[in-house]
Amino acid sequence: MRELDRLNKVFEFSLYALLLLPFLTIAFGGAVPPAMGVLFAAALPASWWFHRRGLAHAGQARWWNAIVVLFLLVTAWQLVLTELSALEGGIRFVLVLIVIKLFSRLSERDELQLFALSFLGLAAATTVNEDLTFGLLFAVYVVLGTFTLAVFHLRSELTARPRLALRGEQPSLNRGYIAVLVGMASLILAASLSIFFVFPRIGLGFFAPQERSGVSVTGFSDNVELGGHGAIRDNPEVVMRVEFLDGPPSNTSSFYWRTLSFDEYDGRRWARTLPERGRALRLDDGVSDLSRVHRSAGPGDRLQIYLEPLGKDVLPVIRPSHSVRIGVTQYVLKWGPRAGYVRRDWYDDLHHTIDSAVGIAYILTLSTGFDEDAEPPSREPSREFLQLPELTPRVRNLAAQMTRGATTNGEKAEAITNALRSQYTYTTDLPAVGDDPVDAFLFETRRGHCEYFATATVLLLRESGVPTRLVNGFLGGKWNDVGGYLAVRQGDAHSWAEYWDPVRGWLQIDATPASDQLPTNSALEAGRAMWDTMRLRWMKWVIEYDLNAQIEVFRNIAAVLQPRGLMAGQERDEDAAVEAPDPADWRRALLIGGLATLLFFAYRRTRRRLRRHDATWRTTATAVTFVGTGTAWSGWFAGTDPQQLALGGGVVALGVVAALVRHSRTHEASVADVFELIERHAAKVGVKREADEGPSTFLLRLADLQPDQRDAIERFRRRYLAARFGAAVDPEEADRLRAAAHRITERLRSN
Amino acid sequence: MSATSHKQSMRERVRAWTKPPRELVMTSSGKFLCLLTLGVGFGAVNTGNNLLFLLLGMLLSLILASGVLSEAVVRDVTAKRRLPPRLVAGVGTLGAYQVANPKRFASLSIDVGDRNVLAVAGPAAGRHFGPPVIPWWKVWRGKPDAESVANAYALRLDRDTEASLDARFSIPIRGRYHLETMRISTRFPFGLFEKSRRVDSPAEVTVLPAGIEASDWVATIFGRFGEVATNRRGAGEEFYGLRDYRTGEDQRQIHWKSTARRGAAVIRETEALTQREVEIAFCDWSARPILPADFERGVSKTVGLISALSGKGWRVGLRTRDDVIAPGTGAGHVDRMLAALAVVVPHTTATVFDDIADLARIAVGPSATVSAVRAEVGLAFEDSADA
Repeated sequence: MRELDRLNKVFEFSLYALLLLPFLTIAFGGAVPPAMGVLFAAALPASWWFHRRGLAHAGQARWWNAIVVLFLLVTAWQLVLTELSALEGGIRFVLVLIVIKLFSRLSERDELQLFALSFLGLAAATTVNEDLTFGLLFAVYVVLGTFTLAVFHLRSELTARPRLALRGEQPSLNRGYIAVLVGMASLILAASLSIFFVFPRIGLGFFAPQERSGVSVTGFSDNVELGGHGAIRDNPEVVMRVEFLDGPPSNTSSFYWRTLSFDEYDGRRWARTLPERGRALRLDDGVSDLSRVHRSAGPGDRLQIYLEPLGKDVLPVIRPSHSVRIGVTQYVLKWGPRAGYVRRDWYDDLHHTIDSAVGIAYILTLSTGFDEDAEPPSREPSREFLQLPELTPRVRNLAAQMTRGATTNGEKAEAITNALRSQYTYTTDLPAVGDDPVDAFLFETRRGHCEYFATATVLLLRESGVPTRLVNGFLGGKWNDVGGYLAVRQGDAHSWAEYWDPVRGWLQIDATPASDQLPTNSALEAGRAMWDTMRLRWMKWVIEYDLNAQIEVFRNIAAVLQPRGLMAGQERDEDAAVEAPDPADWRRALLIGGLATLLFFAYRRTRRRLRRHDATWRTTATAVTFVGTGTAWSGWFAGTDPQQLALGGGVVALGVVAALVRHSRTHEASVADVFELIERHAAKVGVKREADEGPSTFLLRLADLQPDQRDAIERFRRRYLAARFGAAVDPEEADRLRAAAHRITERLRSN
Repeated sequence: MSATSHKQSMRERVRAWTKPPRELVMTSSGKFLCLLTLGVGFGAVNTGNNLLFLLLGMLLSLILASGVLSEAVVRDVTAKRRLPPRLVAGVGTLGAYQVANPKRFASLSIDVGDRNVLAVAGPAAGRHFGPPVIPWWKVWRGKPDAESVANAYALRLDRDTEASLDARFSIPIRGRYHLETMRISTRFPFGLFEKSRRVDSPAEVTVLPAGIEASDWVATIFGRFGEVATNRRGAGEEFYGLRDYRTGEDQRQIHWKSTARRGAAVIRETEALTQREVEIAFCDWSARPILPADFERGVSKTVGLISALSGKGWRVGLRTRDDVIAPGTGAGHVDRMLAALAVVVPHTTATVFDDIADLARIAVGPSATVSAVRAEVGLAFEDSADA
């Protein structure tokens, strides 16, 4: 029974691991309170010990039931009197049930219930953890779960049939069996992912809103206090990821990702006073046109942006841009949780209307430049952009001093920017300032971070009579070499100003001088880049995989499977080609794979006949069918002309037929070949057949010379003579003769 | 002609390939898994939560893998039934299944057996025995209580091998039974479903009635007919004579006193007993209603009587409504009589030997004794007549 003990041990380990996985998944989602985490972690080894000692018995059931009831009462009390949500209460309940069942299990039925609880835990984890950790732990869960189920089944079979053990038919967890189980588990994982991708995403989100914990970014509320951005300077958390669909850009450090603008400053705090509601941008097949707003000269590079939930419905854009479109494909659904459109507010900030908090994917088409010939903007900025708090006289004097000699808005903006850049320094390590931080920045500390520079710019320009506004957003980003995309982090948050030009509209200016680079650790950065890439893939292909993405995947598959001739006849649709992978590589792989599969099966179907030289018309037909299918397959992919295809296929088929005819020897001839095989090998070891020696005499002499093979050669001799000179040869007998001859020749060689 | 036969062969092959006779039964865990899959699927579709779709994919893959792998296990496996030579009602008897796996990979967790039998003669004629087949969609049905007729299990059947698997055949009621199909089934790999493949293997088996003690009947018969010396040498108790010991003879037969006296080994010979002959006429009718249990008791007691008499060296014959078996000896002869008894059923009409007086007239041979056993009364030894 040693094998059964080993099986039990393996099952115990894998069951505990299987129960630990949902716990970890929930814990990574932050839904396990510390005390419960400690208790659960302590309960696992304790229950192991409890079970090994056989301390559980049926009489304890009432105590376990009492614990369950007590826990339910406490949870109910917490639900009513505290902020505990029903979901959290449910998750805790599952964990408690797992622990109780571990302690109280007595039979296979209890172990099956543990399987169910483990799965329930994982299902509950989907509501609290949708990070990459879920994906990794899920993959382990599938492999381990499959393995554990198979071991459980094996163990059950043995337990139910103790006589197997007596007969020595114990199940053995040898390497071969483990390899089969692991292979099976891997296949199930692959099948799970395949089903995940093809299962129709028709969910409408009736019963559960889609949301996940967002990235909390300072500066994305309607009221921003001066100094917030400086505090997040070192935060590496990624806010948005940008893929460049038309090739990586040369310089990403100059990208100003514009999010929110502010008009009113009260001396410490920026606020938005204009009405929030704006008008939706013109939608043409789901594309929001920005060309007039941004005075775009024409469509340029396309950027696929994946925005983390910011807790605000803003869409970061670069100015000037040409258009923006929600989603990742050309299809825009008019319904469902991801349906929505883009609207512009009175500050020209862009907002989305998607009622979902799982993050937004959108495509931004940049502009090739400003259209200098575009008509001047018809609407003057409102008076709010000239609002000023009570400024000290020395600030007023400084504004006048800086803009002396400048007449236009542009000249004034340039003068102030140059002055601030040259005379002030950048720092995030700010000393304490008084009630008027801008005054202190301009005259006392003379150093600050971007918000100070931007606020000073706005105030000085407004003091000079130029309508100006403060803009919050991000500057640049960190290029991720692993994933080939730009990761914009919280630490890239930035503030700058926009002033009004009567001819060109709003123009951005940034008076903040260059800052020191963030301290980096190359190994840490590489690991972070790798993790962030995986996270992007996870978010893109799992969390945000919706009907749009599904349609796109099927479209790409169709593109791969489409014959080349038809593909060439189609014009490339710019919008449709968004992120569509080049099908050439896939087509090539599929072509080679398909041909290899066909050849393999053709060989499998004909090898026996070919080996024994008795190819029949059926063998020929089989081979021709496979070759014909292969030719059609290749031609279909290559887009070959049908006539050429038929000609080529015919030639190949004829070649195959000729080759098979060569192999279509009679069984008698095949038997003669077998004798010749022995004759050849005997000659190699010095036993040559004499000219006047018949096969029988030769084999008798060979048997005398090879005493260790005497019997085998004698048996072969008799069967050979019967086959050669007797009735019609049975193909099976020809096979057996050949096998016997091979055994004899192998021994001859080894001697 | 050959083309026609080839066509048929191909059609049969295609049919066999496309319509394999498979049965699928859900185990308890399989039912739970399906229920879970439905629940998760409902949740995923309603919430649009992609992580639930991942879990759904996993569950569907498990079901899919179970189907594919179990099919790989049962496909192409062949089985031949080796029935036990003698099968007695309610007694498990060892038989075997010869199972072969011609595939290029091993088959794991194979179950071979006869799930059901149909009684074609005897008290249970027309009844099926064995657990009913519950279709996979009847999830509300629990596991049936009835046991299979016979079942054999192999944990692993290596590629291209044959194995003989022991199986205990058991049918609770005497009679003649028809075995139609064997089932090759597996619960591999996870025990969620049990997939079975039917193998046509028609056979008939007679389940002999089990015997019970019939010492009172035996005593009565012995009392009436006793044992008669034959004045011939043979196996018996009475002294017959002395003779010289021959090499190889049983030394226990040596008469030591005479040996000592003569100085050479002498053997004691005994007189052979007369081998009595009896024909049992099984009376299977009664004018009044017969309780099945009473009838079965009578049959069992008759079996006990036949066994006891045969064991004593009597030549026993049997006469039933449908069979006449002349008196004889040997295990095969006894089994023939039991086989005739296996299919007797109570009747309400008289047989040709219902009258004891007739029994004498149909006596077999001058020294035969005919007895009548009226089964339904249990104490059926009613009369006898010396010829």
